[in-house]
Amino acid sequence: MEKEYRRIGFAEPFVFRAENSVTGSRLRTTLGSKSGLTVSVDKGKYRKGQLLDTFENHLLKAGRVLLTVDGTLLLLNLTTASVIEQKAVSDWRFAGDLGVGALADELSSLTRLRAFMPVGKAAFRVDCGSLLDDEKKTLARLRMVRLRRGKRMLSFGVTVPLRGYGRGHRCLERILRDCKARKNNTTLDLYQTLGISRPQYTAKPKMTFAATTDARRAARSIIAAFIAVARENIPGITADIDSEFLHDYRVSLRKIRSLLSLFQGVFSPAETRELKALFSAMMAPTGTLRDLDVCLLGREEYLAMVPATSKEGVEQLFAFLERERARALKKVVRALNRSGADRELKALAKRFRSGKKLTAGPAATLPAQEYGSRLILKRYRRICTLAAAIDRTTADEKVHELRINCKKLRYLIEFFAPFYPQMDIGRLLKSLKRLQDNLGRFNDCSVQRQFLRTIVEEKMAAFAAHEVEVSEAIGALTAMLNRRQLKERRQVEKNFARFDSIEVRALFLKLFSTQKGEK
Amino acid sequence: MKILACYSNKGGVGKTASSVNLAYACATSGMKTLLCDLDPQAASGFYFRVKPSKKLKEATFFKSRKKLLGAIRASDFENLDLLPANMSFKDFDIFLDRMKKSSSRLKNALKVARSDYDFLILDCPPNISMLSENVFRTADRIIVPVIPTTLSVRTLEQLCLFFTENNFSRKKLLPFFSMVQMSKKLHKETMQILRGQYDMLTPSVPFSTDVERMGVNRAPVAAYAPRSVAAEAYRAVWEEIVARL
Repeated sequence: MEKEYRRIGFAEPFVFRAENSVTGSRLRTTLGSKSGLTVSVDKGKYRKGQLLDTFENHLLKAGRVLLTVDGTLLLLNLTTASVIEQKAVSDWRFAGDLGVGALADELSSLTRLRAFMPVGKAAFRVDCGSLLDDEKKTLARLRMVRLRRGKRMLSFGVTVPLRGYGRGHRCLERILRDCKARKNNTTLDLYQTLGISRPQYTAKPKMTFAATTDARRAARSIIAAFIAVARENIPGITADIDSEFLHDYRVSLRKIRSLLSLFQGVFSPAETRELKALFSAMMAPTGTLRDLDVCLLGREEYLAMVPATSKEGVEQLFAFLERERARALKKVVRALNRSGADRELKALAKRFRSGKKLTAGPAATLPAQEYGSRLILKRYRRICTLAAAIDRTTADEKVHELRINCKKLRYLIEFFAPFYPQMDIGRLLKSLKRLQDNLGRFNDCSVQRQFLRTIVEEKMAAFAAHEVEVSEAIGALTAMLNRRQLKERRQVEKNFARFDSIEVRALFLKLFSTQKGEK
Repeated sequence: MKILACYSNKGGVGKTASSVNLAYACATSGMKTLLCDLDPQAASGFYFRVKPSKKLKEATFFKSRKKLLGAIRASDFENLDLLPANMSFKDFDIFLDRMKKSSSRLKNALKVARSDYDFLILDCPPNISMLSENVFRTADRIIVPVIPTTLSVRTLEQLCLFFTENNFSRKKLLPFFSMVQMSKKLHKETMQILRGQYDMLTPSVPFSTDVERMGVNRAPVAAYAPRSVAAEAYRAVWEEIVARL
């Protein structure tokens, strides 16, 4: 009963954008003097600053604008026209560098891994307004963020309805619309409108081949798309902006390699082998750097995992890992430059785009969707067989095999996703993701334990005076990782059972079954 | 949701000023607050520039949850809403008298606001009636402004007696000194005597032109004179009320 009444007296805010047309005097003129109402707008002062965003434009996608103005960071929310401020830390790049604060929290919720880098210069101001009645009572409020870059300008605003004043709010919305404010559906064109060119990067490009395209052309198209992703990341790796560049570079190459093994028969066996070796060789020099990145990203977690007595040792260990990383980075940059990775990838992209220098295998002419469906179902069945055999006594290798197969299934579903209803694919991926996350955490523990073991066996000489503390810290970390891995291991069965539900099984069959009566 | 009533059976003791300023103190402490004006003079609404409700006429206050919610108006201050009164509130006793379960009608009517607010503050008219009995039953605490003069003291005695005779818990009563003029010997002496006899709140609110100017500024004291003695006093009274809840 109460729920039914809850929204009485509340209106929906009008989230709008306008170019240069919404000003106090314009609003007053539009309102006129007959109504007895007045509009007052407090104009803010323009503040010049540097716009920041990540390579993937996390802020823009979230409808936020981040500016640094005289050592202060200002985060503008374009949907609520609100601003939060926080003092910037010198040389900060990541949300985590900013310490405690509402702004740091918001940035952290968007991304903890991506660096915030300069995008361009802009000025902004915040205007606040009210619609008042004849007794100067506020009937509705208005907030507006105005952004300016040279002669280019745009405003984002929002009305703030007040309880019980729906009519006043409607009046304010009407005069705003009369001043050419329009409902704001997107903020994605903000940089473009301000004349700032930004990369439209995505690590998951949408596939653009038709269902009836032959499998070979589909494979070429997917590979070309991921080569483009890999290439986009190379400058970020060499400039060492953040660890995600290398991660995305490796993932895109891994996807290509996976595709080459999954799409058996699309290219000739000899060519498949040659291409796989080529992409593996491109990934190989980056492995150590990625392992170090993963380890260093877990720094806070590691520190929290060990007793206070081991913290000094962990700090020493991380200082060593930082030095190792610097060395590994140099090697990667050298390898990328020496081998001319970008040039090589460019040539490969050309080869896949034209397809002339690629020999066709026996499955080359199969229709892409039919071929994809068959591969997905086959992989799904393989996973079910593998998982069914897993219990508490199964060797870890089998769990790793399950993880690899889940990854392959995920890639396949993503490659062919455009051919199936988005909602169904979303449901499948969601159920698969939980299992994959579990398996991923299990694997991370395993990799990190191995990593620590290598340090103990080969690198202890690097710690000289701190050998005892570091050994103790590694011991504590290994014990914690072991415990965590066992915990993850125990959850695999449960998470698979969740993935293996009747609904998911039925959905797999419904979407990917290519023959009548196939079960 | 806690319900606090600002009540005295004597007029002119500063009930409305107290309701408005305590509601403001409550809202500025971060609590979602609804000030419910039960006085047909609608002075609380006047202080917040909110016009009297047009649709909440006659018995609809007690009968229509939808209309009661629809009559709530946001003030110009964050976390603070108002349920304005109108002249038909003067007949509340007649409506209550005609209704079944008349003694719990107010409690039932106000239940509808409990999910929206942390505190509900009732600005009550000065009489002992069916409505005030409803208030005594509904409120968790009854804040009683007392001017340290003979008539006010008499009124407090009458109220305490009424509570005892009608089996209302006297623990609900939170009297405090209002409009105090320490330059007056009578005020000083009366305060001393009453503190010995009743559990008065420690802070007291002085007689102040800042409070009188509320009618001109049409806002709570702390909104236009935040550092004034009166604003500080209301804040202190509010803090002690919260401590006693």
